[in-house]
Amino acid sequence: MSESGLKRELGFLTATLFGVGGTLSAGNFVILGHAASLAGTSLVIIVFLCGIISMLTMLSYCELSTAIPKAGSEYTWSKVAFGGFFSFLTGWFQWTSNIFYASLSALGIAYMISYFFPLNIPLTAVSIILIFTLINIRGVKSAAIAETFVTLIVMVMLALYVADGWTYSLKLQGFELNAPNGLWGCFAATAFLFELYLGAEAIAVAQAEIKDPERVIPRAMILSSLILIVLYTSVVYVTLRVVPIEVLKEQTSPIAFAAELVMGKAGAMLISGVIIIAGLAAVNSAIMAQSRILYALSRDRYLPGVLSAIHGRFHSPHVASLFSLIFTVAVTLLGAVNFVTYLVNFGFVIGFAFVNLSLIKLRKKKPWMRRPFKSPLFPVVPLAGISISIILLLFLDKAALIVGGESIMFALLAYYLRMVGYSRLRLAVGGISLGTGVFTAFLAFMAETRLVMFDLPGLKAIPPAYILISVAFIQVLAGILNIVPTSPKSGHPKNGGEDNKV
Amino acid sequence: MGVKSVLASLVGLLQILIGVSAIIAAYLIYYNPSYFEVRTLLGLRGEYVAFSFLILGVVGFFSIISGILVIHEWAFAREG
Repeated sequence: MSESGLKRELGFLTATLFGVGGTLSAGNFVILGHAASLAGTSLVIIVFLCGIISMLTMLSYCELSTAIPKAGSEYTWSKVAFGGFFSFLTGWFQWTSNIFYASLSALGIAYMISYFFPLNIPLTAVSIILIFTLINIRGVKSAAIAETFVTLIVMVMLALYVADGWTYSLKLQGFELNAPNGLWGCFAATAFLFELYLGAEAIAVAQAEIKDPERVIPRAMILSSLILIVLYTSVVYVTLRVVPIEVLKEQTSPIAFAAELVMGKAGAMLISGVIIIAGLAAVNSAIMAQSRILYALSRDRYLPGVLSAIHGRFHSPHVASLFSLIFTVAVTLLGAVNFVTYLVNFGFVIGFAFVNLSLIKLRKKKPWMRRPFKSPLFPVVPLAGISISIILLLFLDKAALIVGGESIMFALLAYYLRMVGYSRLRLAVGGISLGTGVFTAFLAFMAETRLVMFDLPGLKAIPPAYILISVAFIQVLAGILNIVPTSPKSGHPKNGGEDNKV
Repeated sequence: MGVKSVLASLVGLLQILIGVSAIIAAYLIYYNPSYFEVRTLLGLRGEYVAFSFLILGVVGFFSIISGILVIHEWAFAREG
């Protein structure tokens, strides 16, 4: 039995398949069309390279998960290595990344179903998320063995697809590597497809259920990474051989389209069916991870205590689940699968950088620590992992970078809300509102006096100055309401009141 | 709940609404979907898109936070 009371019943093979299954999100097979439009047929090499890049960080996962065999993986490691804001930020990114990943997986499933039956994609994805959140609130035990069985079936089906596709492609013209958008397109595709290999770290998360974890975890992680590199590279190669890129990028489910060409309608339905089933497991894992991370952050007093409430009957962190559900539904309703993919990548690229940083810090801070597995070529491997993460960030979609930046701002806000006190934060936010209001009023004045021309060709009926004045009025009022003290309980520092922490 | 609390909550709600609208506008400006061409509607030139997205995103973010704080403080904390 492990420290968490779970029975250690996953052997080497099951753990390896568990790692492979963790990455098999339906979203991965939906985004191939957009990736191909960025990189052309060079996508084959990029998929291979993405696997190698993620493997650099997997080595850090191997070392840390065996050296610190405790629940919480990345968050726990950074807490041991750094503590404070850094560990909070790691947990925060784990949480947001899982929100985006759940959303991507659910959207991927909806897109795959939509290839066969017309449906509303965002609403279908939201329904999947609602169902799995309810299942999680009711409390589910890890079904690792069932998941590995499904993974095995998916792998066999994909192998059949590759074999059939290869035979089919022999009748077609030869395959030539090209990159229509040059090196920039290749980097952009790498940044876009980075999430393809995410999920193999599920082995580290399931460490409490793995037999002989010190020996099995590193081997299973490395083997699952190798299997995934071979699997994804061959699937992408065959897909690009049988379907021209111009056709591929128009498909809601590129893999289903290619499978229909190669194996017929029944084959396409079979492949999509098993990917959807495997994808449901990915949605479930991501939803479970969201609530557990939020629960841990709340338990460690980084976030309000209400988030670590446990349901009396189901013994699950139901408040954390419902709180995460709001954000997951909001992201899913966008329905923009490519944008959500970039958001997933933003979160995980930073998360991977934190894991590598934790490894470097722990090697310096606690050199005596027992390490059953040591990442080779230290510090080259973790430093390479960090450098590549930073480079990939530069090639992410600008909008995703801004949303990611705002997520960091939210994290800072949440952290300082606990650390510097609620009333000081109210003062700061009130000041910002007041400033925004005054500036908006100034813009309204300039618009009204024609010092600056605000032309809204499509909105002739509504003068922009009126909109700006209304916004300015609300902003100024809200700013004042945040700045003025309301009651002695919530007194500002100037009143000598105690900070009323939320 | 007194009149002051109700009015303050209304201001908070309106500010959250402004924030959410700003973020939706930022998203629409950036993606300029074919069913609702916001850039044409606003006469926005291509080079200002990223800037507008950033400004609207940041203003939206702070407006939502400020609105939440106003509601929390005037509608709930005072009651407690």
